[in-house]
Amino acid sequence: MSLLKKDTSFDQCIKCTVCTVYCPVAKANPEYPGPKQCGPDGERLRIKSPEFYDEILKLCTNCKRCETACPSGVKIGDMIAVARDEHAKMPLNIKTIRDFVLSHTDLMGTVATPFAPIVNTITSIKPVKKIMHKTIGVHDHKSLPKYSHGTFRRWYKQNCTSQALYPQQVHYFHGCFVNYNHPQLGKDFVKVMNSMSIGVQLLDKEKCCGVPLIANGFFDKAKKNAKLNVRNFEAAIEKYNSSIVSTSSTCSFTLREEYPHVLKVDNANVADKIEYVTRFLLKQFMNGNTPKMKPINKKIVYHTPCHLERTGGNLYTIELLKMIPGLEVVVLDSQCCGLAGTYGFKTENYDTSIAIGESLFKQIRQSNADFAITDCETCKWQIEENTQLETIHPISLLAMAIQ
Amino acid sequence: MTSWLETDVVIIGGGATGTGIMRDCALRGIKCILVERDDLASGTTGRNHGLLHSGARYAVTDEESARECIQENRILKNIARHCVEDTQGLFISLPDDDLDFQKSFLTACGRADIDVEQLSPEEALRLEPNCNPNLIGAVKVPDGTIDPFRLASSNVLDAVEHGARLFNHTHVTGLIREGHAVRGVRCLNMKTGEHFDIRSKQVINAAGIWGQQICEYGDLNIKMFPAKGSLLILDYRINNLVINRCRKPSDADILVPGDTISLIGTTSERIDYDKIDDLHVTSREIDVLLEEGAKLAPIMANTRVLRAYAGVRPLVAVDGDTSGRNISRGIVLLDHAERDGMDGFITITGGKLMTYRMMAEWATDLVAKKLGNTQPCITHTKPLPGSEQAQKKVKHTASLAKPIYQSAYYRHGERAEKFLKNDKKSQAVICECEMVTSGEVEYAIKELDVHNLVDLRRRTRVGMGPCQGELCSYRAAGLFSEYGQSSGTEASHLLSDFLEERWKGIKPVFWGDALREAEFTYWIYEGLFGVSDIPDSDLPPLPTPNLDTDNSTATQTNENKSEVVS
Amino acid sequence: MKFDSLIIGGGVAGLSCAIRCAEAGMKTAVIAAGQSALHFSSGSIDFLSRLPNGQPVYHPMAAFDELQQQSPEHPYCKLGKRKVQEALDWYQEMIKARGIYLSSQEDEANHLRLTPMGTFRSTWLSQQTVHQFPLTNTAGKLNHIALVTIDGFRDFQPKLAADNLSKLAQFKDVKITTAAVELPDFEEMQRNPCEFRSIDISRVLRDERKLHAFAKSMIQAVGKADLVVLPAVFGNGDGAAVIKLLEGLTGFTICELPTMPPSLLGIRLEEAMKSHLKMLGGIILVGDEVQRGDIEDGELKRVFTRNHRDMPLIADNYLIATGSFFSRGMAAQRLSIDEPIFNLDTVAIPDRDQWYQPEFFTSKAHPFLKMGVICNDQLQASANNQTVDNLFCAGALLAHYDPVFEGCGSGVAISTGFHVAEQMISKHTAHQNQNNKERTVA
Repeated sequence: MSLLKKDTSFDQCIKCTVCTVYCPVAKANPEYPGPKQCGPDGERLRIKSPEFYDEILKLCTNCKRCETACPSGVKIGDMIAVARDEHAKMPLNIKTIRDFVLSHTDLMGTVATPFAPIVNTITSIKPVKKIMHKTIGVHDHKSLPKYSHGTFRRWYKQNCTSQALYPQQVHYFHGCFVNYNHPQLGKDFVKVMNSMSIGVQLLDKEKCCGVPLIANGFFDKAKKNAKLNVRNFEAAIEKYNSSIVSTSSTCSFTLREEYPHVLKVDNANVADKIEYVTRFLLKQFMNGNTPKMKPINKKIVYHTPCHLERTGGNLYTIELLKMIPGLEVVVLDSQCCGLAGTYGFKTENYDTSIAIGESLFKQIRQSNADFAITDCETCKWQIEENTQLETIHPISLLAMAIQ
Repeated sequence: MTSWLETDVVIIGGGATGTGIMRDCALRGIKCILVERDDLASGTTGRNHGLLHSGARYAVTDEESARECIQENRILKNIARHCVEDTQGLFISLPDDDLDFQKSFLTACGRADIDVEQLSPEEALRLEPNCNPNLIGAVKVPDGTIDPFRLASSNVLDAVEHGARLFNHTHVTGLIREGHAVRGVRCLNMKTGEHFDIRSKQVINAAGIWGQQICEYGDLNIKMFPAKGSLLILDYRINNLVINRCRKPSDADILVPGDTISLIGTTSERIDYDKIDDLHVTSREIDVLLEEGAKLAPIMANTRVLRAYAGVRPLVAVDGDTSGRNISRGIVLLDHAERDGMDGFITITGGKLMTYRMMAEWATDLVAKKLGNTQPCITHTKPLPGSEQAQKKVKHTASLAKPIYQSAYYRHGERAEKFLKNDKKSQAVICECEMVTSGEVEYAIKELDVHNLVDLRRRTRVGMGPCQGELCSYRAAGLFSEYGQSSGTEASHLLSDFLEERWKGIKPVFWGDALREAEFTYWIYEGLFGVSDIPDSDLPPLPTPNLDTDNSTATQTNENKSEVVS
Repeated sequence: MKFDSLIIGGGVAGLSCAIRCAEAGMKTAVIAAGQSALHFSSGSIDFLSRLPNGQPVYHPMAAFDELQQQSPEHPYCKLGKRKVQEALDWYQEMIKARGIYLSSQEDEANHLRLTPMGTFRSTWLSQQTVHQFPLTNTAGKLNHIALVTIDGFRDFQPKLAADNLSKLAQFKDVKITTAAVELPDFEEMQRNPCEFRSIDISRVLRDERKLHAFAKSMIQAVGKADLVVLPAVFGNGDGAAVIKLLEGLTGFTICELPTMPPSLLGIRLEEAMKSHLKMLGGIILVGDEVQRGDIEDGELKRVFTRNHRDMPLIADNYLIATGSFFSRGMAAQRLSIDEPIFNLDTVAIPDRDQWYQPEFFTSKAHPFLKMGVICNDQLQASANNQTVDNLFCAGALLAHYDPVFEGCGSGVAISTGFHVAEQMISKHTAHQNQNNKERTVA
């Protein structure tokens, strides 16, 4: 196990201020000191004394757009997240309970799934939403994601018994969203893979990738999840030495990058195998393994999720979309949608969240598109809620195109 | 007509010793004026390790010094709380070092009453994770660090609040002599070009290495041997405990944390006396500092170096002894009345930063006796301004970000309340690397004798962070025009002077991120701002005091005499 | 991933080349490791303000012969006057399509742009909102200039500029005043005192209601003036429109002044170029950096980036325009300097103490600014003294010129980027014709 060293990239900061121009939170919320001060400036002070840690760092959405913009290679987003791990105090109050509920997706998913229809109804009725707003601080304008009555894993176990027969295999990290909220995406994924003669293998066990836990300060739990996931990846690769694919741009980013950089969990043995789905697909396409597609004569607007832009994965998604016959693809200006996972559900962040996404929503509303396409589930929620335009995953669109 | 002032004691030199004497005199009710040719702590005081010795370094070779150090160490941790960090220190032994030295080290420290503790390598690494993991032994010592700028400034603040006066940017051009007595000094205000005299009963020469010139004004002979020492400043605190090498003192064997940075030093090179104002850090010195420093903390090899600087040790030849590094850094107090038959003049020099208070006490005791003042010295118990209130929970100011008010208290102690106001203008951040607000700059300009950006940097740390003035110097220059009555052109020159001063220290380490930063700064200030084209300053050109002919030989009469000095 | 042209570096040189390639229908991608140096620039285009020997240049077009004498290796000399002119004209037209009007003086002389210090910098093209002070009769018909800042904005200090400007002989009869205007919602803005930059002010003033309030305060604070100089605190793409509106509301003629970063004037150019490139079908891979490439038989075969890891990016032609030291295009270690991606041949480097001048604000020019990658006349780079046929170099990464001293940064970037594109296009066309021929034959 390599000792993952403390990141000292703040050393390279030449104080050019570019990160502050591209931070979506700084743009919308004057309370936020900005990535420069919270990141490289603040780090020098925090090293001097932990007393210099400012709780205001919790306003960072971890979108990493500061890193994308930085010309000096400073890992600004990472160092803010790590600082929160090292210094933030979790207050004992009702907001922390809310944060716990929003971020412990496996726990909540397991509990809610059997009662999904009831839970879904209750959380969507007005008086309940108003109570949640006033007590635990979930904004009443937000609709909590619906739970599916039956997990993806259960569906897979019942319906995907002969995946091993395919000539090629791929490992699928389904994540919480597919498992508890939207198994249809997982089903679409299996359909697409199978149409390309690739069988889908689930991991023996998987836990939430940890991104909401990181965002809400539950680092110990995130690390625990991370270690379990890495062990399962290692075991999976032993079985079939193939890629571990995720349909969530944020999960794949977290599994590959956040584990070593923020959680200091060593995933060196498996990192290269972890891929976001469109990268995997594009490589297959380039090697000649293309499914037969029927035209989709629709106009779509594509929204680049922040984490996908950070890893350059949007290149693959866009190439893929362009390959779908009949599809009119409009790539929206790349900007943050504002939801940032659990961030925008909170009463104290809601206004910031909407302000951040406002120009994106405007662009979408004016686009006259049939669908919005995006790779991230929380972007999907944010866009649908604020534009009423149905938002689907590239894989689901591909599944539609496949004969 | 030369104007003149009158006082009991004139102190020449605004370093730690001079300002310490100023405070001691003032607290004893002795009227005094301090004259400093540049700015507080601009000499050797501002160019050393900033180490609050535990004395352990001297335990083996010089027990007397060691005892003095540990005593003063304890006193300063008490009275200068806001200037001092009780970091503790380590003396580490590396595979090349002889562990026997550690044994004698431990014994000697015990004899000198210095609390030390032998640690295993694992224990040492736990305390200081960045020290060399290959260490074979370690001793924990009560080292600390001290900010010399804050120290000098606080001493002056206390003195001024008790009736003393400071003239910085004022050159002493001669001694006023009456027969075999010194009765004052001739001064030249470097900003206005104005000459004036200060008449006093006693003159204390606390000018450090420059004291030789002062003595020459009185035709007195003291021989000084300037020994240059160079240091490097690193971008951030790579260590939290002082790391020393447990062996006989040598080059680059102390890595000291200080505020937001760490520094590695030092070297020792004899230079000619006429070079004391023209110091350069050489490539060879930088190689040594980097190489040896990395042995103390390997992470140093990958750490950005912000700048290099050099200071000159005020080594005095006592009784003809003039050899090498191990000259006792003893304190030299010369009563010229006794030694040379020259009344009204004493010299205090030698010593080290952290024994300044004791040196000041001795010097003040001497002049107090001559003046018939019997007030006791209280500088060892009375806290300095800024250290007056015990370490309390820093007040949360709702409208200021935590790092900002935290930094203000760190630098100024309770005096920070003077400028942490609840108005937007004063809260604007001028220096983002070190978190200095407009209010703090205003306070420094108006109340801390700050006349240019270099002075400002010493009092507030503006420009001492990684950007070395790139982001802050323009903003700060503007404030001089607002709060300091500088004209726009004068303020523009303050800006370019400051960037030139910063450049002096960047040049020797011009590679890596220091080069990137300097290129960036150049693009902005030359390419975008066109600083090199600013019109000439409104101020008269800096007068160059002609040191050879300014020795006053004429006898001063009681009338005001107008003197034309070239 | 395969492209016709792959541009490494998203600054002026890289984007100029990419746009030209995309215009010609080539499948083009730009890899940018972060935002570019335009974020600290004046937003004007510097052609040539000073010859290497220090002599000021009034008519850049007429200075080529002298430049050839003094610095034959200069990128301008490699291109020749005609090509440089063609590139600058092209750039002007191209950016006009994006609503940015760059203009030069009618007599083909440089003009002067006012700096925050109240000094001047000679430049060639400026945006429509930047007042062009002519080289001769600089003050022109101006009788009263007001230097105006936003209350609390620390990055413009009008008193410094006013004092310095008033000392210039040409301005001795011009009344120069200063004013500070309150920003609406200032109290709320300043809740965070750390980040109050030009970009933050621009966001407030985007709101028309606030702009109106600002205009009112401006009229009160300024009174009368022939020219009102304001720091560049207006929008990205729509900045010019906001200023026009403000002029309408106040009746003033406004001059935008670039000051401390971020430079909204520079960002305006960058946004325009990027959106133009995207509109032409070009792709920009942001926040990624090329880590290595395979050069085989004098050709760059493929490059590998940090984001795309084992998936190489392949192109027929490549441009490396990664900039100078602060952009990390060149890397300086303690004892050596190199181009870190491909280790391309660079100009000979002297000992470190000769990289710079003893004075920061030197009249001589710092040698390190002239360091960079060496190229042939076609701007092809070389590694181990062997030319890499399909790897070109442009912009600040090039050796043999000093962008600050000579005042030619953006001019060199645009013209070298454009010239490289022209070569890529002809290679691409030739290649296509070859393919067509082969197909016909077959």
